Amino acid sequence: MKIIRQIFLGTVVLAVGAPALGVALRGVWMLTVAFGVLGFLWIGLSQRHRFMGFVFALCVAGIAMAAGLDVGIGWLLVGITAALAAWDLEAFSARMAGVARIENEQALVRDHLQHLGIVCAAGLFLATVASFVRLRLSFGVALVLSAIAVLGLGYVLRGIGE
Amino acid sequence: MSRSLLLGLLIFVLLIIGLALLDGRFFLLLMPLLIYVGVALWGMPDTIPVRAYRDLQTIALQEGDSAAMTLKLVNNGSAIPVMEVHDLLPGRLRVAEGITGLVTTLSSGSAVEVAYTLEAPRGAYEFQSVSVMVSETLGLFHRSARLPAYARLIVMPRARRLRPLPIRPRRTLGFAGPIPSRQSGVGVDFYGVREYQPGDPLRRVNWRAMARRPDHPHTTEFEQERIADVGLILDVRRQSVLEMQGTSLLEHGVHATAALAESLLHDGHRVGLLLYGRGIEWVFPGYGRLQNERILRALAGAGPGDSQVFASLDFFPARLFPPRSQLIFISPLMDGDYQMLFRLRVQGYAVFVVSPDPVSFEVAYLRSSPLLPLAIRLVQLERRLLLQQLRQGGICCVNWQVHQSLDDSLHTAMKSIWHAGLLSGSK
Repeated sequence: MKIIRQIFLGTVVLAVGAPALGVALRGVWMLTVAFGVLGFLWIGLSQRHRFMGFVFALCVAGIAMAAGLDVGIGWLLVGITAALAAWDLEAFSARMAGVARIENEQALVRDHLQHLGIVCAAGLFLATVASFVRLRLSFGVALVLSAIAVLGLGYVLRGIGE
Repeated sequence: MSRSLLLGLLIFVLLIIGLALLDGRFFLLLMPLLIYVGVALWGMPDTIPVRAYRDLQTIALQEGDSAAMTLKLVNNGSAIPVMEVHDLLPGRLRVAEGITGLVTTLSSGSAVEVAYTLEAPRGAYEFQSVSVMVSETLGLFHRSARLPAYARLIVMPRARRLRPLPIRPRRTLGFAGPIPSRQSGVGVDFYGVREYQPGDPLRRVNWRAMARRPDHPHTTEFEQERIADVGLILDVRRQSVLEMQGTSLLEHGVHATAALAESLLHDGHRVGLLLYGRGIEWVFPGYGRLQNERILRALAGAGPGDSQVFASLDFFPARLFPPRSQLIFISPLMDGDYQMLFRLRVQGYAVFVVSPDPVSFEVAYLRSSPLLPLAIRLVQLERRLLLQQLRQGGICCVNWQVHQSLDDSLHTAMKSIWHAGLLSGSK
């Protein structure tokens, strides 16, 4: 589990470091400091698993604010992907710590890291590719797509709740 | 908040902000999160293709002993990325060794075992199911189920060895045992002298009597010693079960019954059991170690009951407690019980009461207060009066202080009862 911890620390540094750098380049020092504080908070609270969702949500909120400030999208994509990975690894650690016996621990950890790596790489790659694509949509098409997205998301949320 | 719900909310909020601001960059930020959710949904197993098998080392054990449990889970379907298993233990069971849960990955056709050792206080325990949770590799979504895996464990009370109990019922059975039967025959105790009959063995001729009257030879007779039918009646009526700080007076009653059954069966008697207050929960009379096991198993499940069947012990079947046999009533005793016991006495039963003292039991758990000594004195007087009434009606009573040894209490009480002549049975 030591490797999980090391990767977790690395992803936290990336999750707060990349957006902080992007924000700093835009000259918004307040948010840079806030990302720095969030990084320390995340690492400080990493053993208290009930706070992990809260810190992740704070990080996403910070990245969303940075997006509103026209920070370079590359920094933010790296940040949100790393934040997702950090949150996932923390949850994985918590789950493993909650049981007395783990069978095939190496296989479990290896599979998890592989999946997470693929998800992060695919997410980052697709988002980067998408950032270069420019589509011009009419208002009607945009409205229909929005409606489909909202309805689809609602469906997924309902499914999750069930 | 669950992880999936949090992630869903974040996606939803980013989507709304993106739509509200008409800013495509928020949709770009969504993409890693959406791919994470998509991969998790895609990898989620549709069903839980696992079967659980439970193997309990023994189905019955005595208090203080332990039993090994092995739980085997076999995957009959496709591979399960992550499976979390927790065995659901019935209450009061304690794991002495090993653990009851694990996390593993289970490939198709493979199996995993959970092994542990159990200890428990007296009782009957049923294992119904095992809790299984499967999830995809990322652990965002999971599916839970309780897989049936039945087993039953009986923890019998541990009986302490008692010295032989000098009971004297009116009716004895045909086999040799420890109870003087008031009939001449094969035995060791002197019974009387009668005139010599042709065929009497010479070694039984009473030479002293013949020395006095040489023309009239006499034969010595010995008293036959027989076994008897003994009915144990354990009082489990809810209103007579006293509980203080999680300790029940019934436990003492159960252990006393187990010890009496073990002692009486060891002496060769035919012993039956009725759980008074639990309706028709009884063990028909029988002999030997097998009967002891039956009684202990019945006692393992003894708990407070509200049944009105045999409410006054008037109409139980004669096969359960044959007429004029010995009844041993194990009860803290309630106010109206003496009438019921008198009726049994009138029907010809020899009644013996072993009464765990509820007063001393309760006092041990009470805080001291100025009025407590007076209250104790009053209830003790009341109890003494009840026991006095029973003794006057020819019923032997042992007021057992539960913090003392049952064996010592029984034999101390027996001495005084013997002197009072109550054990004659026909009195």
